[in-house]
Amino acid sequence: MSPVKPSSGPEPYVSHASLFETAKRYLTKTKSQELLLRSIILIFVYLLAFCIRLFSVLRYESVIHEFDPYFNYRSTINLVQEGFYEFWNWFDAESWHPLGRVVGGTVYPGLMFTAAILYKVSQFLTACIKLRDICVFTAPFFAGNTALIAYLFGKELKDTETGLVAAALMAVVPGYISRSVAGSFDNEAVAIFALVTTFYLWVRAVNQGTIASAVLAAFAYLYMAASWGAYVFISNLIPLYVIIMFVSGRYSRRIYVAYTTFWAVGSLLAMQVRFIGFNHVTSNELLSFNGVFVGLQVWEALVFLRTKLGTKQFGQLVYLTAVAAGAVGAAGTAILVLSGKLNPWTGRFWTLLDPTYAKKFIPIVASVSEHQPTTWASYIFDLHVLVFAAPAGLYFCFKRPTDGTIFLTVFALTAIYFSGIMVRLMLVAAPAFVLLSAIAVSSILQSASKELRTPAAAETKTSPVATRRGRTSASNEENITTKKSTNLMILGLTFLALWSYSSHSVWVTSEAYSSPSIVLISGWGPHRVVLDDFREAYYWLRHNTAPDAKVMSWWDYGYQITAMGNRTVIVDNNTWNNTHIATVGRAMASNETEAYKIMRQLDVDYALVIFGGMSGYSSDDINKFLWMVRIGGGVFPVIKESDYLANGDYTVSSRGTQTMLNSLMYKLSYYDFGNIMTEHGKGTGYDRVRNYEIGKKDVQLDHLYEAFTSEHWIVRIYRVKDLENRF
Amino acid sequence: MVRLTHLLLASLLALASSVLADNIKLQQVDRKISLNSQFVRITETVKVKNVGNQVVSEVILCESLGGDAVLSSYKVVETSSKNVLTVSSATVAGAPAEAACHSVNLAKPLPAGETVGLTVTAVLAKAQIPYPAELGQHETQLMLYNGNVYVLSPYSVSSQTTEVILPTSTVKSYTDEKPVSKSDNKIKYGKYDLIKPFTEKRLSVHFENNKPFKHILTYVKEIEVSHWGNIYVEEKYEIKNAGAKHTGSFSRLKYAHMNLKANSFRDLKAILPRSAHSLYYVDLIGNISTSNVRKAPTSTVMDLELRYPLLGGWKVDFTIGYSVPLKGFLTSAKSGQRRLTMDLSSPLEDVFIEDMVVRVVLPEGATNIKANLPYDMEKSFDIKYTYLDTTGRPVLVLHKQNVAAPEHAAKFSVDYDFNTVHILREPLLLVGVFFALFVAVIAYNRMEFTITRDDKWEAARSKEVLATYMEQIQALLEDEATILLGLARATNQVREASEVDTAQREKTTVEKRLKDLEEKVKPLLAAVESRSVRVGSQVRDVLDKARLLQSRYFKQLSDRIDLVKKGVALNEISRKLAPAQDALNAAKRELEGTIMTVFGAY
Repeated sequence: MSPVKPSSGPEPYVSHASLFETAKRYLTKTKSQELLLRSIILIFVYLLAFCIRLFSVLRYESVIHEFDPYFNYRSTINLVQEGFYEFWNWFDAESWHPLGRVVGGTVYPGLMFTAAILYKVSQFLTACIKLRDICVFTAPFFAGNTALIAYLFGKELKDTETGLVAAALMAVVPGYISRSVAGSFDNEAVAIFALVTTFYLWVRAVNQGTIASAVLAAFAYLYMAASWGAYVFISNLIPLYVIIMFVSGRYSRRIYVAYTTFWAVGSLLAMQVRFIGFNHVTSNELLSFNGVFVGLQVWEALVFLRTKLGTKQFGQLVYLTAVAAGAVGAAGTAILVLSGKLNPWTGRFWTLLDPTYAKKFIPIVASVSEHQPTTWASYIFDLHVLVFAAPAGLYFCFKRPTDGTIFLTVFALTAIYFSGIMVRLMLVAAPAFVLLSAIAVSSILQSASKELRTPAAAETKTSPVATRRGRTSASNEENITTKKSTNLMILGLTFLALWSYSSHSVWVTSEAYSSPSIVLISGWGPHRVVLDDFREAYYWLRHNTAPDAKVMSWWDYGYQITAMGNRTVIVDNNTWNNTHIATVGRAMASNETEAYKIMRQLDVDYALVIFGGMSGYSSDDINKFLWMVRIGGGVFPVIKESDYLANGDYTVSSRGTQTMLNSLMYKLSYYDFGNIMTEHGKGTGYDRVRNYEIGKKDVQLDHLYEAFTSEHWIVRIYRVKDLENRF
Repeated sequence: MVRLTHLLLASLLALASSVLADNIKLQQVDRKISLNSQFVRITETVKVKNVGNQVVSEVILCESLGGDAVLSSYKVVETSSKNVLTVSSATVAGAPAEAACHSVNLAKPLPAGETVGLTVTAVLAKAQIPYPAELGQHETQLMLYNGNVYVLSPYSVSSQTTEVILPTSTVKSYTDEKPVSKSDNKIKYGKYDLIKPFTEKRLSVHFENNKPFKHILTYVKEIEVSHWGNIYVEEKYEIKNAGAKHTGSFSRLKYAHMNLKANSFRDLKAILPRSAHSLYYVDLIGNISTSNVRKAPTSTVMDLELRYPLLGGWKVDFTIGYSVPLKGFLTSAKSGQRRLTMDLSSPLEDVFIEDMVVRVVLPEGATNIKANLPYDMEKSFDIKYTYLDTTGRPVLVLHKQNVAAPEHAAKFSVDYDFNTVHILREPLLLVGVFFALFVAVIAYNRMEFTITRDDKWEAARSKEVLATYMEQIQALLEDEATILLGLARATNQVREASEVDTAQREKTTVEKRLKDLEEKVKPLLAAVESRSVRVGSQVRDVLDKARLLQSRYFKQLSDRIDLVKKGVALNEISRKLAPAQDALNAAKRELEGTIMTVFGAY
């Protein structure tokens, strides 16, 4: 044997085992078995997260859902067709006529970019997937990604087992599914992924304390900022966490590095989003984000100087700094207030702090069902067993606190608070509940199964001893069996809870969250009735009206009309101009002559109403009428809510007030309806939503005429007549 | 250029025939004009006589096209032999502007004094004009047809009759050129004798026609052939109700409850091949949920309902698609030549197509593409890129305007050469891509991108090297376990004294191999110890345990051999050796446990 050089090491040992045996040896190793098991679980979790969201496609079709997704879809089409720069500069003249909307500057473009990139990538790979299908499946795809991130997050917080449980729980948590079924092409679809990723990378950055990891977190923050307005939640939660760490004495240089890097890079990146821009510096909502940065710098400077200066000098310095800080702060605030840079707290801010604020002051916010305060029932509905498992997780977090679990605690507590204010924010709370529950479940399972395994080993060891000491062995065995049964019971209960959680999730997804709301299906099998009225009417608009025709409808349908009907609307779901919406509300609430004047002023060619009295579709415009009156009356005092109330009740029956029965909305909804028998044994004009006969059956229109009514009368479109010839 | 020469040729022909005009006389013309649909269908039986003294091989026939009317289909058949004659359009001197003339090539030249019978079928579209042009929902539709009372002809006509067939008996007015008679839904003109060439007299009929005027503005059909076993067909339609324009309000109440539907329509019927499957019916915003499919004995019938009823002037678009298997549509010859045979026109019944494009997408690698068409169409080629295409698929594009539904329904075929090897292109591409990907990952893992080699790097590197040694030692221990397992097997096989020698031989080989391993593990152990004393001592511990286990195995063998030599019964041997065997098993388990704890991390 030749002498081996020390650097090259000894001659490598080559095993004589056959290929088969090598594979067998590899597979019997615990480590590789664990890896195999883990990858299989993760793949299944990913598939589960994707597939559970396909109910809507299987039951209905591959179609974009609801309202906002239609705008996102339309924007994505624009982005793909016109390119990045055109999209950035897009002025949409098809909405908010005659004002228009600067879409490029008022949109969170993350979702559109995501879908457009996915589309381009699939094109590059020569997969001919239609853009609509890309948009439909973006949400389920990202749900799978979120589950994987939950795995990493769980792993970072505690261990691999927690990660796996977190991934599995995240895959099917109904609170998240509600916003991410196939077709729900909304900001939240990618934003929850971005949110969880940012938090995960932040915790990782805190644990590692390196610049690279913090920069990574900052990029995740950019994605979140580009996707959803709730990025503010991140940029308030992280400073809050830093403050808590500071106060609790766990502040370390790692946090300083992570936060400083995150602040600098994250701010710069987020400011690239046009809708955010300098708001990221000037907005009050981000005061804590910027303030904590300054505070940290001052603290670190002081710590540095204390090592250089004597105690007395240092005391003076602290005194000076405090005075200077106070003076600069006061002066700065004064300057900012005077120059108008410091915006007063916005309604959104107050709404988040005071649940009753919107109800009192902003009817347009209150009119949206997803902005209502959350009920207890919806916690159970959206989170199920997690509601009970999360407090246990909190217990485990407090029991052995680490930087990561403290962050999770802060995240969870704030998210729970916000989810109580608005139903929609349940979405943000869901990941927190999932992670806490994962910690609880994995801790319980770990300790239970560990105790199940250890006595077995102990038994064999003690067995020869036990034969010698007969009496003690009996009690020992008894002890072991009781422990065993307790642990088995714990395992069984946990299994039962998880099983009921998963079946509940599937049920909720299939029953509650998988309806596209653009197509309505009632009945099963041969009795299946498809109400496709929305698309029927929108498509009619698209093909049979002048290309520049303006359509007036309540704002809920604005996005759908522009996306599916390709026609200009007066107001849409963006709701950026309350006065404009109030004008439409006023027109709907006025009598026909007054409304005609308003419609002429707004260049309206068609008026569109949603009417459910014929088909029994309950979320129609008559049921929303109260908000039109309130929002209209909020700006135009001519509209008085009391005029529409009969004994404190909005009614269109014979008890209804004259103002109500002469309003444009009433006329457009019930035109021709008075002659129809809708239900057997009831008189003509029987409204199937309100369950009574309407008050005024002989509706005459002077300034409009019926242009189109869909098959089940859900959408009714009226043409606004031109001015009559004066000669 | 080619078209120009065609035109020139045609006009030359026209000139020639006009010279011959005096030689031909139409003895008898019986014409039927059917207005019983959205089209004007004209059938003429013509008796042509050669009154000159030369042989005639061409006859000029003309149709009157008033207004925007277009001649969609024109066919001439020799009455006696039923032979379809070749027809080319011709311009004739002295013909009125609205005349569309064709020169007909007779199957065999007509000698002087002979007669030949011809049957002409012409389909005119857009020849019925709504009058009034606008229509309320409660009204019925009235149409106006303008033609010529006499048959337009460059020849003099000896005797002729014209019969106009109407959809209903309601007629507002019609041209009164005696003799004329009207009975029920028919108006008869003639017979007229001795009419000079190109005699014009406007024939105008104003009548009720509530038949749907289904105009397809654009029709694009794409046939995509996959040699993996499927033909995909997708058809895009833009359809319009070309009847009288709807005016005033559209009342759903009147439409649905009082059955006032004016000239509107909503239903379409598509007759697809029997083997059609995976059908869909969609538009830009998703599925159209109002359709029904049923299988008929020879076809698949798709009853389509449009998204909304089309009142006069209203438009809508939609797409239908389906797949058919290759069988019955694609045939192949041994030489690699394939023939695709499909329906050329739309499967919809009773429609007029203004602009038809048929795209035949053939698989990558198809060459020598030739189309056999039942009628003239513009041909061009294109390339389409779909799933996993590299060079793109060749597309044969066929284009034709003014297509009438039943008349142009015909099969067409496309011949092309295709080598079966090409169908492996896509799977091979996928295999190649994945292979390249894995190679790239392997290469990446072998590379190092460290910029600075600091202590941290050194530590990580040392750890990595340590890991490789540990892996090797572990493999060595596993090999040792396998060898000992063999020894144990040999031990158990010792049943009688005669078998002792084999066992002894086995023992020596095992000893040798173990010694060999012992030699090999020494440098590895030293290398581990040089990197980490802690791990080194752990490994040493494991190796000690392994040696202990070895000696137990050997002890077991020698004990057994002794007992066998003594001639002790087998079950007695097992009983005697059992405690030692238990101890051995325990030691083995313990060793495995230690190996797992020491080597598990690597």
